[in-house]
Amino acid sequence: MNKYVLIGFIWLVTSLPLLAQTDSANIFHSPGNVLKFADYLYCRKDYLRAISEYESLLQLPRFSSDTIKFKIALGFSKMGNFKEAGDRFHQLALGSSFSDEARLELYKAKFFTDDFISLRQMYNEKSLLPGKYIQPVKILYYASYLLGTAPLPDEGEFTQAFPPYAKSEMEKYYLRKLDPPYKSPVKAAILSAIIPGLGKAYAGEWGDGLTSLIVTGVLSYVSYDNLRAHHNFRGYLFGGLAALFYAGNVYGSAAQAQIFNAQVDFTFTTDLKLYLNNHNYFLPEYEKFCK
Amino acid sequence: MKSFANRSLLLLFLCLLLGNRHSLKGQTPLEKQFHLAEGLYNKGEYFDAITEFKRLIFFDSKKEYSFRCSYLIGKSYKMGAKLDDAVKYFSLAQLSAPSDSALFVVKTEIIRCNILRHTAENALLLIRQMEKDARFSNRQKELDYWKGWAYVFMDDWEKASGVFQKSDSTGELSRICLGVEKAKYSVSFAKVISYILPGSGQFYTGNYLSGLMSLSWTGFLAYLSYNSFAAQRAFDGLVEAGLFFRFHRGNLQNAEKFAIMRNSEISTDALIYLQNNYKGLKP
Repeated sequence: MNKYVLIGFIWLVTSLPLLAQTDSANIFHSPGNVLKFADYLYCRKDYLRAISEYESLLQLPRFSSDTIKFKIALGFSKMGNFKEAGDRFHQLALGSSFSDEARLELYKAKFFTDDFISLRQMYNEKSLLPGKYIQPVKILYYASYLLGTAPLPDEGEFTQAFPPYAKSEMEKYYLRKLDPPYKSPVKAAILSAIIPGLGKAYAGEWGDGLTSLIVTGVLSYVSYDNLRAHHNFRGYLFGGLAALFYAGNVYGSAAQAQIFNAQVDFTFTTDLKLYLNNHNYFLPEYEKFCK
Repeated sequence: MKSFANRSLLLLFLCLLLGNRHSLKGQTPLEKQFHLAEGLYNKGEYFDAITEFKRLIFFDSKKEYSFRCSYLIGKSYKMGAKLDDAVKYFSLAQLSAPSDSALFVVKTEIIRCNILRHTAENALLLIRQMEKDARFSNRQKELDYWKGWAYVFMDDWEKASGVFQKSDSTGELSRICLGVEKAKYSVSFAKVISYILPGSGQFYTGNYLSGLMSLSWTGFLAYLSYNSFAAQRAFDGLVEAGLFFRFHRGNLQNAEKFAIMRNSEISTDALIYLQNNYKGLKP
């Protein structure tokens, strides 16, 4: 009896500190605690670290779940890494408990990476359409026409996709996209060739237009007056300057029209994105992980 | 006899267990976790170190490690040039600083981050607040030292030199700052001489071609204008005078721009020199 007690005693004495160390080393890295910590990081918007923690759980069959996979993909999406997010959502789009959400997020990823062609192709082919979220996807589909370069769909068809409170506003954006108030660079150049500065005024730069008119006019007059008085050097000098200003003004007017058009596009895109962003792109708030 | 032996063994076991108590207690999970995180920090693996410190903060319900973790997270973020995050965690560390000296260290870290992220005005504001705080009345020299660095990053090398004279015993920083101040070009002087003789401001800053162009254009237009007035062609003279003034104004702007550009180059070179060669404490 004493022999067994002695063996047990020796085993206990030697293994206790070792056991204690092993426990203390792993206690915070146990799968349950890793999950708690990952959820904490996720809700603190520390997505990169949360993803890293969740990824470590995917190796363990007991902890690997669709929720974790979905949160990883959502984490990438929230960090703006839509390419990786899209790939992850694609894996969840078939046969997972987050299938509909993953499909919607997949469409979102396409939208936010400006991959409008692929988005519209998927929608038209009814590929991976989320049953629960058909309407939000439809909105992304039609909104993509406003941000892309493809010909616009029918106005009625377009507006009916949006909720009633947003219909009139979206119709305004549709009309702005359909008929943007562009200025023709050719027309601006021709106008400036006829009357210096007129092209600039047409492109919205009235001050520049007036300055161009005065400078070209004065230099031409001085050139003419000097040539008439046989001051040939001054006549040619001012004539050259006048020609330079004239040519610069014609070129500048065409360039100004292009700048004007770029501003029209920029303002349109900024206004539209701001409006859509204020309405969360008409997307549902289904995420309840951090409530 | 048997029961005596058993009791003796039990007693011995308890003694050994009590003897091991210290080592068991010294290896608490929290402490173990702290050493793990600290090890990563010491190895320069800052991303993983931050994760492990955050893990410790999450599980440390009694907030025993709150100060040390927040401080080292701040330091790790700083090493990764994530200065906003560093300031956030240093601010958190401030709340749980165990002593005035620890608080001073954390506060100076916030000041140093502000200097590095070019919000040196904030750094100066924090220094002034600390100067008024009685707890730090004996640390004025250190505060002056960081004040000097704030001025360096605000491109005020003259003030920096003055402050370093009081706080840097070696005098090296003060000398460097004074050298930079002396090497810099006077923007006003460049403009004034270019006003009197077009192009001379550009010459002063070493931009000879630009100076020559300015001098030629303004000289040519001044001559044309004078010539027109002399030939009693007042309108021509006025137009040419207008062009002369336009070029003269451009010449002044040019001289100012070159002086500012040169000064910026001198400051940048000085900062690079300090970063690579100065061995003392840096932000």
